[in-house]
Amino acid sequence: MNEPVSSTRTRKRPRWAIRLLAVIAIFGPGLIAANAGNDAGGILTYASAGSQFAYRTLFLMVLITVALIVVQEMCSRLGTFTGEGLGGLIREQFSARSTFIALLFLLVANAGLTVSEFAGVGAAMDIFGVSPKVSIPIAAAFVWGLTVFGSYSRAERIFLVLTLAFLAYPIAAFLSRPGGGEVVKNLVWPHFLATSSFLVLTVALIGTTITPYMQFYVASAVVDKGVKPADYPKERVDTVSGSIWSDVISIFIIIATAAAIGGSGALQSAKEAAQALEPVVGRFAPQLFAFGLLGASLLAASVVPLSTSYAIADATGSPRSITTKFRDAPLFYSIFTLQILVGAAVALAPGNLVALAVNAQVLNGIITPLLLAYVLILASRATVLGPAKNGPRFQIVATVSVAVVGVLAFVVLILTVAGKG
Amino acid sequence: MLRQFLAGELISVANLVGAPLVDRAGRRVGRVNDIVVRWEAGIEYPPVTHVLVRAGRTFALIGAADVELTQARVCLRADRELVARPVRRPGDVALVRDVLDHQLVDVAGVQVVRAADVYLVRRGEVWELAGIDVSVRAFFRRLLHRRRHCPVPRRAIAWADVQHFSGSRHDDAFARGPADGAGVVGSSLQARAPRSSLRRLRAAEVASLLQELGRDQGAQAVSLVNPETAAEALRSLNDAQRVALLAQLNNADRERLESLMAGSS
Repeated sequence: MNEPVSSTRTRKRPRWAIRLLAVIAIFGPGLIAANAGNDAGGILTYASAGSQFAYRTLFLMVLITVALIVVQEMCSRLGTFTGEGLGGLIREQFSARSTFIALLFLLVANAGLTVSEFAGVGAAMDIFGVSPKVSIPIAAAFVWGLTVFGSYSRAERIFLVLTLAFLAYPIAAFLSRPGGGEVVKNLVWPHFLATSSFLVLTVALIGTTITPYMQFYVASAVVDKGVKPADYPKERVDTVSGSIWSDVISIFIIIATAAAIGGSGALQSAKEAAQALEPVVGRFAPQLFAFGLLGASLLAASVVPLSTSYAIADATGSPRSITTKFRDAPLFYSIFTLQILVGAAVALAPGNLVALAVNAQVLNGIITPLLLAYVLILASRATVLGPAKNGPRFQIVATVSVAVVGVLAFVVLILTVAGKG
Repeated sequence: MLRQFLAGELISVANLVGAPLVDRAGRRVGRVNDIVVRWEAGIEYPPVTHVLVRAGRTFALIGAADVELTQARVCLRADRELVARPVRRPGDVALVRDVLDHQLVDVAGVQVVRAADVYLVRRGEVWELAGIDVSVRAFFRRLLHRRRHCPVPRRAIAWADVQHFSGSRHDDAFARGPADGAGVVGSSLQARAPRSSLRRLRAAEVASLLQELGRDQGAQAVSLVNPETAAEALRSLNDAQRVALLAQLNNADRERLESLMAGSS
């Protein structure tokens, strides 16, 4: 938590320094929330995009970034101006049935995400020669125990340090000399393919970038941070820049992977994805990738189920805190435990772990527009936000973003049901 | 009181919403949209004063004396015109808009809860607001079809032990749509409530509630307790939470609390 700049300080700073400090002080929730998209599922999905379609998804990522900014800004504004999380707002503003449906969507989406986190653990440890059958149950017990017995915050810092391994991607993207012209062409002009596999990956990219978990997180985080409506212009800077920064990293992952193994088809293993880091660390690329993937997976394997438990307990008015005992917050802990169990069990099923992680993002992509509809309605209600509700132009952009994501998700759902996805 | 209210004739508001409003001939003329009680000084269990109904696209307020309330339906005692353009008056609490599903404080249990159902109890000819049910089961019960009989409260809290807060700051009228533009006689803001059960709490208890409440509710809670208690509770919050809550208060209240905090530190 940042300390507010005291107004009683006697030593005067230059005006530009005060402004800079004010901006830095507010950085946080938006940046962290948007970067949460770069979890295990995200890394594997972006790497898969580079491997399967080389640079063709880059323009799509630019469009997704616009949608991400719009969505995160609405959630951040809702948290700032109401002082409540999305779960509570949905309970207050919608009927019991609509609330239940929203919570169910969140539960399913986050359960899918949890599966991909444990798949990430399995894939990472596989690089070190540890079977997923061993690593996944141990990771599940480790994460559950750390969270329930209250020593998670220290471990969280270690996981965060491990994820710094992914900062190697931007360096790798430059060192691999991808051909600037090709990259720029794909960034500014669409090179889409009219195939079902491209469409499915499009929805997976949407699902992993604009994930419902991030929307619930950013709204709660600005409340926890005590961001005041008067500070919102600075908070908006954080949200927008966080979204852009997060997607710049994602784009570098796609570029680095495309330069290394672009066009070689769907990603089969985490080792393949690690080849993208070879220009930076040579033969140690698999190990560096595995450390990063393990950190990202363990970090999100706890945070994602926890965020579901918080949102559902908040909406149902049940006790919610990791500092309370199990018997005092049974719903909160039951939902958390169930997600860990189901996530680990599904990740243990035989099959390709990378494909499983990507498929979980497709599920997220299908559910995301349904939850976005709730956010859109909340942010456009004067009874919720008063004068801070969506303006007419913003409302058009937000509605178009949600509608496009919804149509894509619907088409993929139809293709999947028809067995063509 | 809790035992008394569970033993009396009860109506579940969550089940009553959407129930038909019928005239003396039994013809349906509208649907129940909300129940309004009047919260005044010295009254622990506020009486129902009006029923807000919706007939087509029109909202209308009907006096409680003009209707007979049952769990399954509301009957008009006399044929009368439905008066549109309902307005709130000071002290009016709309149970669906302001209480059901909203954050409340269970003062006896010192915890923030959400009302999954609201119960009315009959006292002679008058229906009074008896209490709320905060159980998860009551919430899930609402997903099913509406019941003709009042369900049994599972985790009931008597209204005397509940602190509720005003509805949205931006929602002064009972109804939107055709009733928009209706003159607002008063708002539902209870920031200067006649009685606050929160005054029973200690500063540490108030501080723990402030950490869970939304921004508006938290600011109202601060203005409902003794200034000395509020100042002590605010001091134990982290800087960001304290600044955000103080920013919601009017200048006079904020300055008073800041001077109290500075004086006792």
